[in-house]
Amino acid sequence: MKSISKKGLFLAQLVKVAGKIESEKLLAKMLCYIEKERGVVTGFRFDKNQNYGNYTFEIKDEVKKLQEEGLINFKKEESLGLWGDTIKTHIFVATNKLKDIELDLTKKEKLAIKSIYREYSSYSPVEIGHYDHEIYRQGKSRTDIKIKNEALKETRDLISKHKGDKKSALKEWLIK
Amino acid sequence: MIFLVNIRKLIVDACILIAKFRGEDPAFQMQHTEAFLDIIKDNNFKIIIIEKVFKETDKYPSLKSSIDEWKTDLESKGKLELIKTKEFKNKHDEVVNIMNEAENEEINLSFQDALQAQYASETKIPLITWDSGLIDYCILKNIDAFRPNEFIEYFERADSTVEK
Repeated sequence: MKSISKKGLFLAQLVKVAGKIESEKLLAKMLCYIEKERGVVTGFRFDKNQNYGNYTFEIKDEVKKLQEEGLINFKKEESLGLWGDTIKTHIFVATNKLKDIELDLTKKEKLAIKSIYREYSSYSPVEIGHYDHEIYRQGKSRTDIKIKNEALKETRDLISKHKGDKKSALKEWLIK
Repeated sequence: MIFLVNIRKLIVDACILIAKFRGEDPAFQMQHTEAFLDIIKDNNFKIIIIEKVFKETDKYPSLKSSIDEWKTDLESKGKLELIKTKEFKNKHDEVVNIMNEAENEEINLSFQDALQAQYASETKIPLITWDSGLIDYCILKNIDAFRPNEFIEYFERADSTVEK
């Protein structure tokens, strides 16, 4: 597995967790969120303007290598849309070989992948697109992440005030 | 994974209330929060909020009156139970253990996260939150915790068998 890059490992692990991902856009965005929202560096290049052109190109490149290693099956399916248009679906499936191996990623990296998959897999690419539009494209910050960071900072500050004694810090926090 | 049959109580994180009232975050988060709270209202669930966690909403003065109004309404209908801080007075070690365990897994939890994880673990009542770190910890420790959208999904699947 030495020929697989860090990016490839992230991609393979995400497909392994999912078993099957039926949207290239969703796959690309989940990889993007692993870095943006969990702070884990994947190695993929991100575009501030959310232009996924380069990004999906990078995915294609990695998928090709993973296919050669027999870790991912990739296929395109075409179906007829409601308006007579052709809908192309990109399908990524984990092979049995992938399911059986442990990829060389840290516990934190694997957890970030699992967590992002759990959070976003139930949304459709359209919903994910809407999410991007609202949050990233308009340059907004996520209030929920801001709230979380403030609570973590308060906790860290209190523990540090009590010189690392979490129990005393907790007691103070509870009576505040 | 739990089946939502016979589950009548849910621990709700303060972030759910903030998501309901702040009106500026991802549309899907707000929509799912609303739908989740509608399910609670229409299906005789009881919401449990840890008082100390609820106090976190004080940090958002612009939302406070709406949140308090919501709380009063639910309390008057007997659908909200606040867990007093004194309930945790002998639980300091357990809460700190949770923080240490999370740290070992490289998950950062705040005191309010650890408090909720401890309560959910002890009572076996599912916890509803948008907080990814808290969810991640709960997954690792087999504590039932769901984002509102996940809860809706499980509820809809189990709906035909849930006692009304």
